[in-house]
Amino acid sequence: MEAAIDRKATSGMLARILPAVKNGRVARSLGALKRDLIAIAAIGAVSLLGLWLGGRGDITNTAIAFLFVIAIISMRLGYRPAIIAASAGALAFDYFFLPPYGSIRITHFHDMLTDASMFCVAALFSTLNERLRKQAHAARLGERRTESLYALVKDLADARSIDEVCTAGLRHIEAGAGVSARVLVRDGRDGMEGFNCAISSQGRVALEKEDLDVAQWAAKHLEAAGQGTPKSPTATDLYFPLSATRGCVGVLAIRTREDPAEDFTMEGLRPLSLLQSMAQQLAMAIERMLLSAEKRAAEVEVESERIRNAVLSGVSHDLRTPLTVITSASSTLVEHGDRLPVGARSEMSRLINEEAKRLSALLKSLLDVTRLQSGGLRVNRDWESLEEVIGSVLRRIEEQRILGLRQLRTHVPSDLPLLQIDAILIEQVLSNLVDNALTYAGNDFPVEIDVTTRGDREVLVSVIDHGQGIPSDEFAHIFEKFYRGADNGGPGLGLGLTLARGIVEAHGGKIWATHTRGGGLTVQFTLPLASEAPQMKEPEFSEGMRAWGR
Amino acid sequence: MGAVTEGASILLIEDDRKILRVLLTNLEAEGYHVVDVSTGQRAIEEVRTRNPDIILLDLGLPDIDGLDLVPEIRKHSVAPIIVVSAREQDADKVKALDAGANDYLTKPFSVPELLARIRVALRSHAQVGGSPRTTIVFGEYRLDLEGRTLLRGDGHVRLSATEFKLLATLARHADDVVTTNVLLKEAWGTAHYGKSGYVRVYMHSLRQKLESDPTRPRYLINEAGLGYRLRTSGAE
Repeated sequence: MEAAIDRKATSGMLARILPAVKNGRVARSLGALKRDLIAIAAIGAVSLLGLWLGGRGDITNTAIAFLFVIAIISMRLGYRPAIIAASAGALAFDYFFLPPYGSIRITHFHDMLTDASMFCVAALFSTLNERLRKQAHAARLGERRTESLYALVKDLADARSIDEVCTAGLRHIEAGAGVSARVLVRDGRDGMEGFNCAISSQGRVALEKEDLDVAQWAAKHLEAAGQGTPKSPTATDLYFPLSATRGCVGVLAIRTREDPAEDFTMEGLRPLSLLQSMAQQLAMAIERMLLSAEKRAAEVEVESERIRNAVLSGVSHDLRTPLTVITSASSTLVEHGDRLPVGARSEMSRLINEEAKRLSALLKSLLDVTRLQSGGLRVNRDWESLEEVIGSVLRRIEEQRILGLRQLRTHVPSDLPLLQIDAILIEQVLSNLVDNALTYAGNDFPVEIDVTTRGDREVLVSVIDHGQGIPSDEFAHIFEKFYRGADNGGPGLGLGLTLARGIVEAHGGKIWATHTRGGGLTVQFTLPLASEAPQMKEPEFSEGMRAWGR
Repeated sequence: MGAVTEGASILLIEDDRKILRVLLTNLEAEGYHVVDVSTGQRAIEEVRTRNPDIILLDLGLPDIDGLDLVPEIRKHSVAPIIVVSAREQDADKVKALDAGANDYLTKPFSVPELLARIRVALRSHAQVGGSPRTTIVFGEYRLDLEGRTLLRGDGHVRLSATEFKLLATLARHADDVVTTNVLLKEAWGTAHYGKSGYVRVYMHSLRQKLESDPTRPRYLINEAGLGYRLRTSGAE
């Protein structure tokens, strides 16, 4: 890949806007002066104490007292105060405790040796101490950095969308670097070039116009732009390209926070490299999301292409057959109607009638499924009685078909509570299921509609036939659009069960197929029971009713 | 065909010429006297001047919304109105029935079905004539609206007050579709508008009392998404 960003260059740019770095330095220099003064004061105190206790007589113990204080200063206050203390200590020791007293002149060689070694020991001690402290600090920083990165990567892995990725990433970046940041990305919905949405750690925000040009430039050149850079140095944000394997996937816009968090303790350039690592992780996560979105879109495209083809080949055939019959039969009547024998004429009329009805049913199921798929299916829930819905289905089917007695059996508990359903849609589900059962199981077998409650949560409706049934491996497929069984020369388009599933699922239920005990197909579906359903009253029977029973 | 429906006059409000043609042929072949109009304006004039026995109204008219036409017609005529609608107009159907239409047909419908609906509507409304009926007979039942009694043969069927109100409302509009809203208003008052659950619960207990197989009712017919009708004829 081209143009990995020059780390040093970006670090410099980032350093300019990272508030913590600047503020941290100021804070430390103020503290340092104070620490230096404390160190000098401590040395002064030791000198006075030494004089008061008669330290001039026992310079060995006095030197050890000085070393002791310098050691404490080195541990507590750091390297610089310790060196200052060591120097001040050497001077004070010389001035107050080595003859001639009250002068920095040293007359004896061994006195000079004592003073010099005291300074050297103190300096060595402080240097070692400082090195240890630096190592511990680096280890602590490294640990924090690993922790931050780990937390970031974990959150990024849990994110399920570009928005989630960006908000998670930004939360970590803002916490880790003490800045406020946004990500500009391209939302895949339209094919336009460039960024069309901005995401902050709180979610989507308005895309600011002035962002766009600079961000676009940064993305194109894979270089940081904006505040403090050669490109648009006066901008309020620094735009930092998020580049992954396929190039720039977004731009991180970083802005100095007006009130940087006080407890921000990352020192020096550390947060910069942390920020860069985080940005890198974010870029990769965004790319991952983009790729999976593209994959999904491609799958949907393939699937809808498949469906379109199925519609064109299968449906056009199914629709053309009745149309052909209608056209040819009616043209026969138009052309030769008066020459045809009465029997043939009524045969033609009957054919037209039947095929027109079939065509009408086909078109209805096509329209229904189209409406379902396009999300146009409106579920008008109301308190409904399943007994009534089943009653309507039976009435309609028994009007349309010539059925033997006991062909359709029902079992509906009389105390079944009302359900929150769309009666028209559920009636359609039941019609489709019962119609299928009657069509495919043959007229010699009864079809049963059985309703039971399962606990107080749902109602189970079963449509049971005792026909040939279908192999178990077709159970899952029969609900697919345009699916028709292997040896199914039935009259439909293979949409009835698709529609049934769509409607049942829109009601929060499930639908599935299973074997009927003893042979045949059973289709079952559930409908949720509402907790506050109006209960059916037990009917009050009068004497007259009892006389004839029910 | 009974004497009641012989030569009755029908106002056919339909703007599609081909459908009109088919309906005209069939209705005239049945011996009805048909007047056809294709606009709402003309329909109102015809209702005022000719006072037809029954009105067939297509809800999709070019000039006036069929829904607005129903109350307009009701100002001038008590004749039964059968609304004809496309399948997508379910909501309109309820509104038309609430506004005073008596029955509905959904396109595409078969001619025999249409003729059957016309016959039933003419028969039920012919008896209304002057004073409203006080006794309605359906199957082996005899409902006396004034005496507030329901007899099955010689036996007395006891109904609760609410059940009776519901049954009486359905009986007063015998063979018409009565919407759930109308039933609620008649039995509970307007305060319970929209609480269709009440109606379902009481219709359930009415079915338990009156129907030998409540899942295959012969008299208390449910019209999904619309309401109920009490079938007094054609249930045989």
